[in-house]
Amino acid sequence: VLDRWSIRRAGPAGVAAAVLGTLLTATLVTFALEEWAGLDDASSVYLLAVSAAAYLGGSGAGIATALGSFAAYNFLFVPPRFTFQVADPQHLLNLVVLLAIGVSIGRLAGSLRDQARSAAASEREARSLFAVSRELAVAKRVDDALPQVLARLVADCRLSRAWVGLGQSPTVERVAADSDAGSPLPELGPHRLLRRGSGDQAPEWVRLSPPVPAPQSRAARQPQYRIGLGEEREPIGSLWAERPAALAEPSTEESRLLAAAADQIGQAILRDRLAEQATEVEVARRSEALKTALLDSVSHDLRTPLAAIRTTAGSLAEATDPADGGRLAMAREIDAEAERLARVVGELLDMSRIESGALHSNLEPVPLPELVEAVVERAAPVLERRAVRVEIPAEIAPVRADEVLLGQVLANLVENAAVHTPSEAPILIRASQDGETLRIVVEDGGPGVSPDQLVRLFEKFYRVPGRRQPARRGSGLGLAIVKGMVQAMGGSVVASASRLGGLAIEVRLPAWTGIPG
Amino acid sequence: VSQRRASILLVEDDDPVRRALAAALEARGYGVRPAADGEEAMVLWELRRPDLVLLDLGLPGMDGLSVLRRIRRDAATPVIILSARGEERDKVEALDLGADDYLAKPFGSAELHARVRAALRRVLGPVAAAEGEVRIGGLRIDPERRLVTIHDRPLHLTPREYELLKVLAGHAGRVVTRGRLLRAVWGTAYADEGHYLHVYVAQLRRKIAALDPDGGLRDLVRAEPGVGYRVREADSAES
Repeated sequence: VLDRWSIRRAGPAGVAAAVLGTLLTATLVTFALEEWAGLDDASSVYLLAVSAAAYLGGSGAGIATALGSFAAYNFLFVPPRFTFQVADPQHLLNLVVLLAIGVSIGRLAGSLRDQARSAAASEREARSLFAVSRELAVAKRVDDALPQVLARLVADCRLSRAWVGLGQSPTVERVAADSDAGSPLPELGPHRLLRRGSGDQAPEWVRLSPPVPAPQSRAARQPQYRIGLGEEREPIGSLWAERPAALAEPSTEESRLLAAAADQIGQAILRDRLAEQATEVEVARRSEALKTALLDSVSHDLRTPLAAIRTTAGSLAEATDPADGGRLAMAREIDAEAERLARVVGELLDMSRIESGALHSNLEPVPLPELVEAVVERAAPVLERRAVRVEIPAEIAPVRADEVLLGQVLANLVENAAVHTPSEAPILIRASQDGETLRIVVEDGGPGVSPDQLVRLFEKFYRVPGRRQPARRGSGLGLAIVKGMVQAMGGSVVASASRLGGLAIEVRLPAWTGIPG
Repeated sequence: VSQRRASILLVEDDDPVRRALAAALEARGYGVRPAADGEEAMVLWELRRPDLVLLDLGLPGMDGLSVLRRIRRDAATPVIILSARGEERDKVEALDLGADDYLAKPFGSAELHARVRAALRRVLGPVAAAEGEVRIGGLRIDPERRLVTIHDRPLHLTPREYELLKVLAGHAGRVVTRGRLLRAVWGTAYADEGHYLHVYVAQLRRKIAALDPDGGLRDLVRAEPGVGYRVREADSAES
């Protein structure tokens, strides 16, 4: 029982009670022993009182009791009684020994008690901190653990209420958890903020008066304490505490516990946020991977039979007697139509990739002259004997693009120009650099497109009325794919009338800067 | 030039495609060993050691890249990859692993025969004399004297440009990935520095064009967007 008593922190009133109580008891016992039992000198009873007072009230109480004992025994029992004079040297010695022993016992017992108390407080602090950490570590989400954490802080730090607010600053916080969730929170007003010292420096409370209207019912307010969550540069919220006005500021141990709990809560919140972001990224990645896998498998399944058809048609043509012109033409027709079907399939799949967001662009520096040359060479079958003029300055910066996609964009534009214009119409590919932007224009000298049709050119399946249509029609997706691919690379595309008389399509993409050559 | 029948290992899981390809190749006089999956392909590879492998990448079970690795562990036999679009990354990986060339499905039979011919010429034809003189159009490379001429006029190249041209010419008729070129000319540390290549290839082409007024060598080195470069086929006969 005494143990529990001694651990409890005694206020000044408690210390006084311990001193006076033990002194009174010792005086009565001494009186009884000397007057009724006839003992000569019962002053050692006071030593018991000193020990008891030191144990209950600390060294201060012990020493005060020792001095009190000295005075009381001298006044009450040492002849001449009821004076502070001492006649007998023997009694004087007894008194001085009583004082000396009393003071030493008081100090010893008191320091023992102080040590026990601080050890117990440390143990309690460690236990609380461990419990807080465990709650936060075990919970899947911080929100699940906060009520238990707050309840523990309220109990261990002698708070009347604790809550966690999240937000950049105390004025815009939203409450994430509250130990007393039923009742409304007090308005923001003057409070004390815990300033954390660096390293071993003890934390200290600083009074703050935020620039907000003072709350109405000032009298009813309990002192409020706030500890910031998160880094000082990147605050994420606060841990708030309210304590009865009768209590002093939280002790060092309590402040340390509050600070440690705030650190742990802050870390747990950041951990939660990161985990949430990672989950979102993972979900997006998986759904994209699924789309890509699906489209790749469709692509594979559609192309494989076409590969068999084309190879067989080729073998058929080779095995046919050249004299049998009709059969040879049929075999070539099969091959050509299978090839066209493969192109249409390819365009439909490209469009699906663009629209489902499964189109990946791997942006890198692409040198335009080389790419344009490769594109023109590849377009030879569609261009037949038509010459394509290329005007690209040699010193032009590389374009920031996906080489494969940009190659396909340019091929689509060149083929589009070739199939929709008469075979004598010129085709020009030119490029220029305008600061950070590269403009690549593919234009032709064909009959062109009326201004009101220009904007519709990039729509899916749109065909310009009256425009020359190729004998073998494609999917009608060519320019829609161009637009989709250019946008996927972070560029834009516009159609206008060409100075050559026909259609000009301009692709704008960023230049790759900082690369030599 | 009379030669024995070249043998081709054809690895393709789709029955109609495999039958059609086998028929087309046999019609050209090649001996064809068809295999429907990777395991069967490995058995035939061990037993027959063909002159050329046509390899589909999307195989059930043991995949095409694993088959390629096993083949490359044993021999430098030419391997042509058969890929469907959407397998771009696998295609480039296969080429980096040492495949000689690729055909994107659905390919025409003219393309098929041209690729097979170019790949076989490397192992069976006269160009196989590895360190010998290389002639492509008006370009002549004499590796022993480190001499390059265009239409019999000397072409002055920096050491890097010479190495680049030599590696390219060594792959005449086939595709070389950017990764392989960079590793061969600059070393493994530069394998991701694609822009070096663009700059050097552009310089090389400018120098060649200066000595080639009629443009006969303009298509000597062609860019293959996303893959690398394809070099024109070497002149076949020692004329």
